[in-house]
Amino acid sequence: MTAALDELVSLDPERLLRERSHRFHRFGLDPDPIAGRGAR
Amino acid sequence: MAASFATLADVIVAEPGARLGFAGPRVIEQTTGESLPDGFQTAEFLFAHGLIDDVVQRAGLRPALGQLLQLQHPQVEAVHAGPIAREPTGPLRTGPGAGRVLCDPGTLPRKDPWSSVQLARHPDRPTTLDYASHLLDGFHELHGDRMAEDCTAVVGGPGRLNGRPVMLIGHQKGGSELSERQRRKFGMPSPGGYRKAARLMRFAAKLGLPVVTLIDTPGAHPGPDAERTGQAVAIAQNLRLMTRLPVPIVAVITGEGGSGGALALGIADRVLICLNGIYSVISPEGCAAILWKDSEAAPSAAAALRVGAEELLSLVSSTVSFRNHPMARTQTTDWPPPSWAMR
Repeated sequence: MTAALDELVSLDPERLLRERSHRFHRFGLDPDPIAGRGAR
Repeated sequence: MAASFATLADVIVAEPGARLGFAGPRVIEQTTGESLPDGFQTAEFLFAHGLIDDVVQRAGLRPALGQLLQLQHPQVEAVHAGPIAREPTGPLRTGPGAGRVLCDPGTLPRKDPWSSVQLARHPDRPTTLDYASHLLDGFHELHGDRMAEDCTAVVGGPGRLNGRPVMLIGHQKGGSELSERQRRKFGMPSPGGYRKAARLMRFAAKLGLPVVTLIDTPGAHPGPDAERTGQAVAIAQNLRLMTRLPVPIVAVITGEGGSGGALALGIADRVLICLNGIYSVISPEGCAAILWKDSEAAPSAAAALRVGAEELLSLVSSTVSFRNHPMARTQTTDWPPPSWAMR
Protein backbone atom coordinates (compact mmCIF):
# COMPACT_ATOMS: atom_id res chain seq x y z
CA MET A 1 0.00 0.00 0.00
CA THR A 2 2.76 2.39 0.98
CA ALA A 3 4.79 1.51 -2.09
CA ALA A 4 1.80 2.09 -4.34
CA LEU A 5 1.24 5.50 -2.78
CA ASP A 6 4.90 6.41 -3.12
CA GLU A 7 4.71 5.60 -6.80
CA LEU A 8 1.48 7.51 -7.37
CA VAL A 9 2.25 10.69 -5.49
CA SER A 10 5.27 11.21 -7.70
CA LEU A 11 2.96 11.64 -10.71
CA ASP A 12 1.59 15.04 -11.56
CA PRO A 13 -2.23 15.23 -11.33
CA GLU A 14 -2.75 15.45 -15.08
CA ARG A 15 -0.74 12.32 -15.71
CA LEU A 16 -2.47 10.59 -12.83
CA LEU A 17 -5.89 11.27 -14.35
CA ARG A 18 -4.69 10.36 -17.82
CA GLU A 19 -3.46 7.01 -16.61
CA ARG A 20 -6.65 6.43 -14.64
CA SER A 21 -8.65 7.14 -17.78
CA HIS A 22 -6.44 4.71 -19.65
CA ARG A 23 -7.49 1.94 -17.29
CA PHE A 24 -11.06 2.56 -18.34
CA HIS A 25 -10.13 2.64 -22.00
CA ARG A 26 -8.60 -0.82 -21.65
CA PHE A 27 -12.11 -2.07 -21.03
CA GLY A 28 -13.68 0.04 -23.74
CA LEU A 29 -14.93 2.69 -21.32
CA ASP A 30 -14.32 6.41 -21.33
CA PRO A 31 -14.93 8.22 -18.05
CA ASP A 32 -14.85 11.66 -19.60
CA PRO A 33 -18.38 11.63 -21.03
CA ILE A 34 -19.58 10.60 -17.58
CA ALA A 35 -17.53 12.98 -15.50
CA GLY A 36 -17.24 15.80 -17.99
CA ARG A 37 -13.87 16.49 -19.49
CA GLY A 38 -11.71 18.23 -16.94
CA ALA A 39 -14.36 17.87 -14.24
CA ARG A 40 -13.16 17.79 -10.69
CA MET B 1 -28.53 29.94 14.64
CA ALA B 2 -26.91 29.10 11.34
CA ALA B 3 -27.91 29.95 7.80
CA SER B 4 -24.41 30.79 6.82
CA PHE B 5 -21.30 29.50 5.17
CA ALA B 6 -20.15 28.27 8.58
CA THR B 7 -22.02 25.04 7.94
CA LEU B 8 -19.93 24.49 4.80
CA ALA B 9 -16.71 24.04 6.77
CA ASP B 10 -14.65 20.96 5.93
CA VAL B 11 -14.77 19.79 9.53
CA ILE B 12 -17.33 20.82 12.11
CA VAL B 13 -16.66 20.01 15.75
CA ALA B 14 -19.04 20.90 18.56
CA GLU B 15 -18.75 20.94 22.31
CA PRO B 16 -21.16 18.71 24.21
CA GLY B 17 -24.55 20.33 24.57
CA ALA B 18 -23.81 23.08 22.04
CA ARG B 19 -26.75 23.97 19.82
CA LEU B 20 -26.84 24.61 16.10
CA GLY B 21 -29.75 24.94 13.73
CA PHE B 22 -31.56 27.07 11.21
CA ALA B 23 -34.80 27.92 12.98
CA GLY B 24 -35.01 28.01 16.76
CA PRO B 25 -37.11 25.41 18.61
CA ARG B 26 -39.74 27.94 19.70
CA VAL B 27 -40.16 29.21 16.15
CA ILE B 28 -40.53 25.69 14.84
CA GLU B 29 -43.04 24.66 17.50
CA GLN B 30 -45.13 27.81 17.14
CA THR B 31 -45.15 27.88 13.36
CA THR B 32 -45.62 24.18 12.67
CA GLY B 33 -47.41 23.01 15.79
CA GLU B 34 -45.01 20.11 16.08
CA SER B 35 -43.42 19.12 19.36
CA LEU B 36 -39.71 18.50 19.08
CA PRO B 37 -37.72 15.53 20.38
CA ASP B 38 -35.51 15.79 23.45
CA GLY B 39 -32.09 17.15 22.63
CA PHE B 40 -33.23 18.63 19.34
CA GLN B 41 -30.44 20.66 17.68
CA THR B 42 -27.89 19.77 20.34
CA ALA B 43 -24.41 18.68 19.35
CA GLU B 44 -25.31 15.08 20.13
CA PHE B 45 -28.46 15.26 18.00
CA LEU B 46 -26.55 16.80 15.11
CA PHE B 47 -23.83 14.18 15.37
CA ALA B 48 -26.36 11.37 15.28
CA HIS B 49 -27.91 12.91 12.17
CA GLY B 50 -24.66 13.33 10.25
CA LEU B 51 -24.49 17.11 10.42
CA ILE B 52 -21.25 17.49 12.38
CA ASP B 53 -18.05 15.48 12.52
CA ASP B 54 -17.43 15.13 16.19
CA VAL B 55 -18.44 16.14 19.70
CA VAL B 56 -15.36 17.09 21.69
CA GLN B 57 -15.02 18.27 25.27
CA ARG B 58 -13.51 21.73 25.53
CA ALA B 59 -10.33 20.32 27.08
CA GLY B 60 -9.87 18.08 24.05
CA LEU B 61 -10.36 20.75 21.41
CA ARG B 62 -6.75 21.91 21.30
CA PRO B 63 -5.20 18.52 20.43
CA ALA B 64 -8.09 17.59 18.13
CA LEU B 65 -7.86 20.79 16.12
CA GLY B 66 -4.06 20.71 16.12
CA GLN B 67 -4.10 17.22 14.67
CA LEU B 68 -6.46 18.26 11.89
CA LEU B 69 -4.60 21.44 11.05
CA GLN B 70 -1.36 19.52 10.58
CA LEU B 71 -2.93 18.02 7.46
CA GLN B 72 -2.08 21.23 5.65
CA HIS B 73 1.51 20.00 5.46
CA PRO B 74 1.05 16.86 3.42
CA GLN B 75 4.65 16.05 2.56
CA VAL B 76 6.19 16.12 6.01
CA GLU B 77 8.61 13.26 6.59
CA ALA B 78 7.00 10.92 4.10
CA VAL B 79 8.89 7.66 3.91
CA HIS B 80 9.64 6.65 0.34
CA ALA B 81 9.68 2.92 -0.07
CA GLY B 82 10.52 3.03 -3.77
CA PRO B 83 8.69 1.23 -6.53
CA ILE B 84 6.42 -1.69 -5.74
CA ALA B 85 8.50 -4.73 -4.80
CA ARG B 86 7.61 -7.54 -7.18
CA GLU B 87 7.43 -10.97 -5.64
CA PRO B 88 9.71 -13.36 -7.50
CA THR B 89 8.08 -16.38 -9.05
CA GLY B 90 8.02 -19.29 -6.65
CA PRO B 91 6.09 -20.75 -3.75
CA LEU B 92 4.13 -18.33 -1.57
CA ARG B 93 6.20 -17.16 1.33
CA THR B 94 4.34 -17.37 4.59
CA GLY B 95 7.19 -16.83 7.01
CA PRO B 96 8.36 -13.66 8.69
CA GLY B 97 9.06 -12.05 5.32
CA ALA B 98 5.42 -12.21 4.32
CA GLY B 99 3.35 -9.09 4.09
CA ARG B 100 4.53 -8.43 0.56
CA VAL B 101 2.79 -7.31 -2.57
CA LEU B 102 2.36 -10.28 -4.89
CA CYS B 103 1.90 -9.69 -8.59
CA ASP B 104 2.41 -13.13 -10.10
CA PRO B 105 -0.62 -15.46 -9.98
CA GLY B 106 1.81 -18.38 -9.96
CA THR B 107 2.96 -17.45 -6.48
CA LEU B 108 -0.54 -17.78 -5.02
CA PRO B 109 -1.96 -21.00 -3.61
CA ARG B 110 -4.76 -22.64 -5.54
CA LYS B 111 -7.85 -22.60 -3.35
CA ASP B 112 -11.35 -23.87 -3.49
CA PRO B 113 -13.39 -20.76 -4.41
CA TRP B 114 -16.01 -21.45 -1.76
CA SER B 115 -13.36 -21.58 0.96
CA SER B 116 -12.17 -18.18 -0.28
CA VAL B 117 -15.70 -16.86 0.15
CA GLN B 118 -15.92 -18.23 3.68
CA LEU B 119 -12.53 -16.83 4.63
CA ALA B 120 -13.37 -13.43 3.19
CA ARG B 121 -16.52 -13.35 5.31
CA HIS B 122 -14.95 -14.61 8.51
CA PRO B 123 -15.97 -12.32 11.38
CA ASP B 124 -12.47 -12.38 12.87
CA ARG B 125 -10.96 -10.63 9.89
CA PRO B 126 -9.57 -7.16 10.64
CA THR B 127 -11.96 -4.30 10.08
CA THR B 128 -11.20 -0.89 8.63
CA LEU B 129 -10.91 0.57 12.12
CA ASP B 130 -8.45 -2.18 13.02
CA TYR B 131 -6.35 -1.26 10.00
CA ALA B 132 -6.64 2.42 10.87
CA SER B 133 -5.36 1.88 14.38
CA HIS B 134 -2.52 -0.44 13.28
CA LEU B 135 -1.36 1.29 10.11
CA LEU B 136 -2.00 4.96 10.69
CA ASP B 137 -0.66 7.48 13.16
CA GLY B 138 -3.10 10.08 14.38
CA PHE B 139 -6.15 8.66 12.64
CA HIS B 140 -9.01 11.08 13.25
CA GLU B 141 -12.38 9.66 12.33
CA LEU B 142 -14.78 12.12 10.73
CA HIS B 143 -18.48 11.55 10.68
CA GLY B 144 -21.63 12.32 8.79
CA ASP B 145 -22.91 12.95 5.31
CA ARG B 146 -23.92 16.56 6.19
CA MET B 147 -27.44 15.71 5.06
CA ALA B 148 -29.22 13.27 7.31
CA GLU B 149 -27.15 10.51 8.85
CA ASP B 150 -23.84 9.10 9.94
CA CYS B 151 -23.81 5.66 8.34
CA THR B 152 -22.02 3.26 10.67
CA ALA B 153 -21.07 0.89 7.83
CA VAL B 154 -18.60 3.38 6.34
CA VAL B 155 -15.84 4.98 8.37
CA GLY B 156 -13.12 7.36 7.37
CA GLY B 157 -10.81 10.15 8.24
CA PRO B 158 -7.29 11.46 7.86
CA GLY B 159 -4.20 9.92 9.38
CA ARG B 160 -0.52 9.41 8.61
CA LEU B 161 0.73 6.33 6.80
CA ASN B 162 4.49 6.12 7.25
CA GLY B 163 4.47 9.84 7.88
CA ARG B 164 2.39 10.72 4.82
CA PRO B 165 -1.07 12.17 5.46
CA VAL B 166 -3.75 10.15 3.71
CA MET B 167 -7.52 9.99 3.77
CA LEU B 168 -8.58 6.49 4.77
CA ILE B 169 -12.13 5.43 3.92
CA GLY B 170 -13.56 1.97 4.29
CA HIS B 171 -16.46 -0.30 4.98
CA GLN B 172 -16.86 -1.32 8.60
CA LYS B 173 -18.39 -4.73 9.18
CA GLY B 174 -18.14 -4.78 12.94
CA GLY B 175 -15.83 -7.66 13.79
CA SER B 176 -16.56 -10.69 15.91
CA GLU B 177 -19.27 -9.27 18.21
CA LEU B 178 -22.78 -9.78 16.85
CA SER B 179 -24.13 -6.61 18.46
CA GLU B 180 -21.38 -4.56 16.82
CA ARG B 181 -21.97 -6.22 13.47
CA GLN B 182 -25.66 -5.34 13.77
CA ARG B 183 -24.80 -1.75 14.70
CA ARG B 184 -22.57 -1.61 11.63
CA LYS B 185 -25.33 -3.06 9.44
CA PHE B 186 -22.97 -5.94 8.62
CA GLY B 187 -20.92 -3.55 6.52
CA MET B 188 -23.76 -2.75 4.12
CA PRO B 189 -23.79 1.03 3.70
CA SER B 190 -26.78 3.24 3.28
CA PRO B 191 -26.64 6.10 0.77
CA GLY B 192 -25.44 8.29 3.62
CA GLY B 193 -22.35 6.10 3.90
CA TYR B 194 -21.43 6.71 0.30
CA ARG B 195 -22.16 10.41 0.66
CA LYS B 196 -19.89 10.53 3.69
CA ALA B 197 -17.18 8.80 1.65
CA ALA B 198 -17.65 11.31 -1.17
CA ARG B 199 -17.41 14.20 1.26
CA LEU B 200 -14.13 12.86 2.62
CA MET B 201 -12.76 12.31 -0.89
CA ARG B 202 -13.54 15.90 -1.85
CA PHE B 203 -11.86 17.03 1.37
CA ALA B 204 -8.80 14.95 0.50
CA ALA B 205 -8.67 16.47 -2.97
CA LYS B 206 -8.87 19.94 -1.48
CA LEU B 207 -5.84 19.23 0.72
CA GLY B 208 -4.00 17.16 -1.89
CA LEU B 209 -4.09 14.01 0.24
CA PRO B 210 -3.98 10.56 -1.37
CA VAL B 211 -7.07 8.46 -0.73
CA VAL B 212 -6.87 4.89 0.52
CA THR B 213 -10.08 2.88 0.47
CA LEU B 214 -10.52 -0.44 2.26
CA ILE B 215 -13.29 -2.56 0.79
CA ASP B 216 -15.12 -5.16 2.85
CA THR B 217 -18.83 -5.36 2.20
CA PRO B 218 -21.40 -7.91 1.08
CA GLY B 219 -22.91 -5.04 -0.90
CA ALA B 220 -24.84 -1.83 -0.45
CA HIS B 221 -27.77 -2.04 1.95
CA PRO B 222 -30.73 -3.47 0.06
CA GLY B 223 -33.53 -2.12 2.27
CA PRO B 224 -36.42 0.14 1.32
CA ASP B 225 -35.01 3.09 3.24
CA ALA B 226 -31.83 2.89 1.16
CA GLU B 227 -33.90 2.90 -2.01
CA ARG B 228 -35.98 5.80 -0.78
CA THR B 229 -32.92 7.91 0.03
CA GLY B 230 -31.13 7.32 -3.25
CA GLN B 231 -28.83 4.31 -3.01
CA ALA B 232 -28.26 4.11 -6.75
CA VAL B 233 -27.68 7.86 -7.02
CA ALA B 234 -25.16 7.88 -4.20
CA ILE B 235 -23.16 5.01 -5.69
CA ALA B 236 -23.21 6.52 -9.17
CA GLN B 237 -22.03 9.84 -7.82
CA ASN B 238 -19.10 8.14 -6.12
CA LEU B 239 -18.15 6.33 -9.33
CA ARG B 240 -18.15 9.62 -11.18
CA LEU B 241 -16.26 11.44 -8.45
CA MET B 242 -13.53 8.81 -8.26
CA THR B 243 -12.94 8.73 -12.00
CA ARG B 244 -11.71 12.30 -11.88
CA LEU B 245 -10.53 12.87 -8.31
CA PRO B 246 -7.22 14.71 -8.77
CA VAL B 247 -5.29 12.82 -6.09
CA PRO B 248 -3.94 9.27 -6.04
CA ILE B 249 -6.40 6.58 -5.00
CA VAL B 250 -5.37 3.14 -3.77
CA ALA B 251 -8.17 0.65 -3.14
CA VAL B 252 -7.57 -2.50 -1.09
CA ILE B 253 -10.11 -5.29 -0.96
CA THR B 254 -9.48 -6.46 2.58
CA GLY B 255 -12.28 -9.01 2.76
CA GLU B 256 -15.46 -9.16 0.75
CA GLY B 257 -15.79 -6.94 -2.29
CA GLY B 258 -19.46 -7.26 -3.11
CA SER B 259 -21.17 -5.66 -6.08
CA GLY B 260 -21.92 -1.94 -6.37
CA GLY B 261 -21.41 -1.51 -2.67
CA ALA B 262 -17.75 -2.30 -3.22
CA LEU B 263 -17.42 -0.47 -6.52
CA ALA B 264 -18.49 2.77 -4.90
CA LEU B 265 -15.11 2.77 -3.13
CA GLY B 266 -13.26 0.83 -5.79
CA ILE B 267 -12.37 3.20 -8.64
CA ALA B 268 -8.67 3.63 -8.08
CA ASP B 269 -5.24 4.05 -9.60
CA ARG B 270 -4.08 0.85 -7.90
CA VAL B 271 -6.37 -1.94 -6.77
CA LEU B 272 -4.95 -4.44 -4.30
CA ILE B 273 -6.62 -7.45 -2.75
CA CYS B 274 -5.70 -9.35 0.39
CA LEU B 275 -4.78 -12.95 -0.09
CA ASN B 276 -8.09 -14.25 1.21
CA GLY B 277 -10.24 -11.49 -0.22
CA ILE B 278 -12.90 -11.88 -2.89
CA TYR B 279 -14.32 -9.41 -5.42
CA SER B 280 -17.44 -10.09 -7.40
CA VAL B 281 -20.29 -8.44 -9.22
CA ILE B 282 -22.79 -10.45 -7.18
CA SER B 283 -22.75 -12.73 -4.16
CA PRO B 284 -22.43 -16.43 -5.00
CA GLU B 285 -25.80 -16.97 -3.34
CA GLY B 286 -27.41 -14.30 -5.48
CA CYS B 287 -25.78 -15.64 -8.61
CA ALA B 288 -26.95 -19.17 -7.80
CA ALA B 289 -30.48 -17.95 -7.22
CA ILE B 290 -30.53 -16.27 -10.63
CA LEU B 291 -28.82 -18.99 -12.63
CA TRP B 292 -30.15 -22.10 -10.96
CA LYS B 293 -32.96 -20.80 -8.75
CA ASP B 294 -31.15 -22.46 -5.86
CA SER B 295 -28.99 -20.53 -3.42
CA GLU B 296 -27.61 -23.85 -2.19
CA ALA B 297 -25.62 -23.92 -5.40
CA ALA B 298 -23.53 -21.00 -4.12
CA PRO B 299 -20.24 -22.98 -4.10
CA SER B 300 -20.70 -23.74 -7.79
CA ALA B 301 -21.50 -20.10 -8.42
CA ALA B 302 -18.37 -19.02 -6.54
CA ALA B 303 -16.29 -21.18 -8.86
CA ALA B 304 -18.03 -19.79 -11.93
CA LEU B 305 -17.61 -16.20 -10.78
CA ARG B 306 -13.84 -16.64 -10.20
CA VAL B 307 -14.00 -14.51 -7.07
CA GLY B 308 -10.64 -15.28 -5.47
CA ALA B 309 -7.42 -13.30 -5.39
CA GLU B 310 -5.51 -15.60 -7.69
CA GLU B 311 -8.28 -15.42 -10.29
CA LEU B 312 -8.48 -11.67 -10.09
CA LEU B 313 -4.85 -10.80 -10.65
CA SER B 314 -5.60 -10.17 -14.30
CA LEU B 315 -8.00 -7.44 -13.23
CA VAL B 316 -6.62 -6.00 -10.00
CA SER B 317 -3.14 -4.59 -9.63
CA SER B 318 -1.73 -7.01 -7.11
CA THR B 319 -2.34 -9.07 -4.02
CA VAL B 320 -1.31 -8.27 -0.48
CA SER B 321 -0.37 -11.11 1.81
CA PHE B 322 -0.86 -10.26 5.45
CA ARG B 323 -0.34 -13.86 6.49
CA ASN B 324 2.07 -13.96 9.45
CA HIS B 325 2.45 -10.22 9.09
CA PRO B 326 2.00 -8.08 12.21
CA MET B 327 -1.09 -6.68 10.51
CA ALA B 328 -2.62 -10.15 10.57
CA ARG B 329 -4.41 -8.97 13.71
CA THR B 330 -3.53 -9.86 17.22
CA GLN B 331 -6.19 -12.49 17.67
CA THR B 332 -5.38 -14.16 14.38
CA THR B 333 -1.68 -14.77 14.61
CA ASP B 334 -2.39 -18.19 13.18
CA TRP B 335 -4.72 -16.75 10.57
CA PRO B 336 -6.31 -18.53 8.86
CA PRO B 337 -7.06 -20.90 11.74
CA PRO B 338 -6.32 -24.57 11.20
CA SER B 339 -10.03 -25.33 10.94
CA TRP B 340 -10.10 -23.13 7.83
CA ALA B 341 -7.25 -24.95 6.18
CA MET B 342 -7.24 -24.32 2.48
CA ARG B 343 -8.15 -27.27 0.37
